[in-house]
Amino acid sequence: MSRYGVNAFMREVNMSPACLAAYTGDPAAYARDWAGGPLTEQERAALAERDYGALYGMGAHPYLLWSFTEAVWVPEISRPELVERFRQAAAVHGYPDIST
Amino acid sequence: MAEIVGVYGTTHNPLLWRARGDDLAATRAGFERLRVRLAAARPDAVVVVATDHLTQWFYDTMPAFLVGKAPLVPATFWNEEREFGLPYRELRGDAELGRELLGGGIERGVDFAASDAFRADHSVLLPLLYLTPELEVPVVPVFTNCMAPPLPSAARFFRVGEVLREALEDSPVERRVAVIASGHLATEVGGPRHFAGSPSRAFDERAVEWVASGDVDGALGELTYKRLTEAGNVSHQFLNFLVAMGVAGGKPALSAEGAVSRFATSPFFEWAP
Ligand SMILES: [Fe+2]
Repeated sequence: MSRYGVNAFMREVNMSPACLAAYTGDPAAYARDWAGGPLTEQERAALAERDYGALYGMGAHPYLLWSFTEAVWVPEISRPELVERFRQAAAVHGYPDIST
Repeated sequence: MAEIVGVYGTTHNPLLWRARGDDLAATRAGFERLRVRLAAARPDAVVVVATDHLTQWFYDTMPAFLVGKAPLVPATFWNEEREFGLPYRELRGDAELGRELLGGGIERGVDFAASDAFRADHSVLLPLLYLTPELEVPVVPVFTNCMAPPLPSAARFFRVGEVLREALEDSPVERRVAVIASGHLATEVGGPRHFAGSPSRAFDERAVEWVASGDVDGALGELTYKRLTEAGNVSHQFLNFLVAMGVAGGKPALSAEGAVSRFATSPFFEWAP
């Protein structure tokens, strides 16, 4: 478990236009090559798949996770639909520990 | 000496910036009421007690309490423009007053971290866009960690407020100072109750009542990390209002309102200086 690595990954993608473009262009390659912090296999796979539900369950910071999720899924999915899907994906996990 | 001329508390919900709709009438009125009050107080500087959202301060270095003492404060990040439509602004800072708060805090046992070069996020800019729309009053941000647990205790937030008052009033710097606490009532982002209005109207009512009646003991007795998470997963930023209660010496607020809308309930508080 490396919540720090996941949070650092999401922050970078969320805050840099170049990183956001690179990640949304090829999430699997970006996640495979990312070396900005420690990631477990499971975390890297979830980032490669943009699997916000899995990331939520592993204790990614929820505020950061939502910004990241919105940045990388809209406009593929409309915002209202993404909000609904996100809520359902998070509800499965309740409120995981987010401490790093 | 510096003189406190007003103590206020507002939401910094960035979704309000481009939101429109009749349900926001009370929220707009809340901002406008505080804008008028703040203008009448004629501050030379404004201390904004705010929480950066993992943009400037992150897990690589996370200060519990930090005084921003820079002469220029760039505000908002690219992602906030993208997500919320917020503008980028360059605020004037009051580095001299910042140094007074830093030194005065340390003398009184609050070992603030400090920064001479930082960028502020919406938690600083959004209240100012509504309360000082010309952005002409120099700012000293005091950042608090309400994002990366473990957080300082509620009692510590209150104490920081008491110390801010003492540090200001003992400072030789001539200033009329307004304090704005920037925070939330019950709020959830990125969780199961995400974007569904207030996640806990019961918490909102209770919290407004603590502020209205100056019930410091009631607030401190209840505001654990767990209790705040139950109210909503980013409700911890309510703790910034404990700083304002400390600045106000624990007195009842002059006015305390939670403006209900389709978003999280928006707090609007004012305390006697
Ligand atoms: Fe916030």
